[in-house]
Amino acid sequence: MNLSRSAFIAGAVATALVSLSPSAAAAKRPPQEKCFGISLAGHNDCAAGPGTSCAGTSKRDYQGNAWTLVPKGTCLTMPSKTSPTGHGQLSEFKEVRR
Amino acid sequence: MQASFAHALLETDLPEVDEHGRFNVYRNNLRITLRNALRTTFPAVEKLVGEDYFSALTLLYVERHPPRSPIMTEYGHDFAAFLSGFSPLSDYPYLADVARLEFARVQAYHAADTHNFRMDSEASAIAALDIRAMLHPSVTVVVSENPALSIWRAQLEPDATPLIPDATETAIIWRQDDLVTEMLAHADDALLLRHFAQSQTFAALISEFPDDPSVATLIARFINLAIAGIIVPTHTPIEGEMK
Repeated sequence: MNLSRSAFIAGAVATALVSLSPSAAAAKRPPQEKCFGISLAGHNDCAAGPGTSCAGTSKRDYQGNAWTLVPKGTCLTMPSKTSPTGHGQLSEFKEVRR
Repeated sequence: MQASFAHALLETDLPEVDEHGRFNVYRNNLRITLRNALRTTFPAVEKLVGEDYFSALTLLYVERHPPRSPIMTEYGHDFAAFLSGFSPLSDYPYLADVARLEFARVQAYHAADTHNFRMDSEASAIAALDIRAMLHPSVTVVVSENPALSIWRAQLEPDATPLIPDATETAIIWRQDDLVTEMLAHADDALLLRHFAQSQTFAALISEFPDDPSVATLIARFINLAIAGIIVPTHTPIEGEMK
């Protein structure tokens, strides 16, 4: 590769990287998080398709090992009747009876 | 014996096979199970034609296209082709495209993992131009004469942006980390998607092109698609290059 081509490519890469501001990249898909313990029975998320023991298979309301995708940062504010903290959690938990 | 049993399961016009109806119970359960599998994979198609129509439509599909694999996530691979050949729906050509999109999403979920390009500095981005790359194994490109992606979104996301009639849309479906994602392809992406359908370097694509704005645009799109994880290195990066 000759020098002027290298310079041209470096310039184009630099321009492309600058135009990718973090906010523009984030706007493409709002960040979500898996939130455990907030799904009503049969309404847990998952896109694995038919024949999998996955989406829509939770048996009880607020099941501690079933999750729903929620906007990032909101999980810990969602009410959960089975969670020891009273709210959704970012990982599986053992349900408490109250 | 097996063939005639399978035939009897799918043939609707057979007389009662056993007097207690047990075979019919089995046959009915089989059809309902397959229909429910299609309902899970094609929720937007179901919304577009309505529940009753979808139910009748899928029972017909089950009869004509019984599963070839016991893996239910693979069932419906030719549902889109069935829809485009189904004359009562010929006024709704976008249905087949929506079905292709929905099937692609389920396949993307189960596709293999790979490593992404590192694009965290100008040097790593420039280096990526000379590395052999391919499309992520989860990628499907759905080229539609209709605004298929917008139609699909409008069915499943209540606050989706209103669609533009008569638009044509090319959608890219792939998996980002563990989430299946979809986006409209940029006008310049078609060339990149074709180029990277086989293992290639970006440098090979532009070697014959002069230094002009169209090459700068291609570089920008390549970086975008690489950051999104749509174009990935063909080989696992060697130790020390990994994140």
